[in-house]
Amino acid sequence: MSLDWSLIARHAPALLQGLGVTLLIALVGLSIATVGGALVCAARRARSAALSRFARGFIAFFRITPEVVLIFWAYFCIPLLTGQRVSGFWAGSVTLGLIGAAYLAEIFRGGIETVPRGQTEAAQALGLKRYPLWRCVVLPQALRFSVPPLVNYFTEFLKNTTLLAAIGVPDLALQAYLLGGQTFRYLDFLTAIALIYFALIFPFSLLSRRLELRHAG
Amino acid sequence: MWRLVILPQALRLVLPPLVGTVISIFKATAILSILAINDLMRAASRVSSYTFQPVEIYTIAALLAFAVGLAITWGGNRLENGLKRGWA
Repeated sequence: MSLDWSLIARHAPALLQGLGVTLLIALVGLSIATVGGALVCAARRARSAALSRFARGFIAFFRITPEVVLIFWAYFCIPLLTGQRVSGFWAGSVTLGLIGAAYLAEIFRGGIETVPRGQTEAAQALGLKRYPLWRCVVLPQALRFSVPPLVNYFTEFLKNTTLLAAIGVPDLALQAYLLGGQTFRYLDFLTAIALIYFALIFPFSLLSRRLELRHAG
Repeated sequence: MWRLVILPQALRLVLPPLVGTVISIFKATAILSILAINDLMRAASRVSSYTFQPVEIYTIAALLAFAVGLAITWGGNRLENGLKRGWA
């Protein structure tokens, strides 16, 4: 059996639509992850023990529990608990966003803790107040340290978006699966999306490796 | 030489990323439920489809999965501390 590229070309619109949904999940999920990650990171570093413990629990729970389990839970249980209809897209993207928040919180924290302590002390010695100290001294450096792991996590996140196919979100993976079922040509479509995902993610993984090398060198 | 010099030091360095990888693999096993392998998640969706109580079933499944992952993490941490104290 050989690959039939014209078949894939004929069904390209459906695949492109799926790619659009995949990118939209990535956009929504990563936005939630970035904002949530910053908040959780702030809570994790807070002086209040209760806040810090909550953030620690949040990070442990969302980093350890399998993504599929959380996605299924959100999709099946939230509508029953709240009595509201929740689409697979939103349940899945928000869940992935919360998982991302747990990872990004640790990445941000790593970045902040990599900034040498002398920097903060020097800024304090110069009489900088809390806000300019963070805004002009700590955060610019911390964010620069965070960029390589952030790009790395971004590739991880794109791979996780395929899991939403399990709850019927019509992303690229589900489109290929459905088209395979309609045409009995799973081989062609699954190979095609494997190549598409690779083409989508490989540049980011190259970028992350380059950024890491630049930091090391 | 290997047993007394290289392995104890190498193990200490390798352990933290190794625990991370084990957690990732454990999380990936849940994905196989999509391929009709009768794992925790598959069992949960099967049971919830005939008991019509997905909230209870999925919550328990999530807590069980979390507990297993937490056990792996704790085990890894304990091993790490043990190795740090020079027990190898």
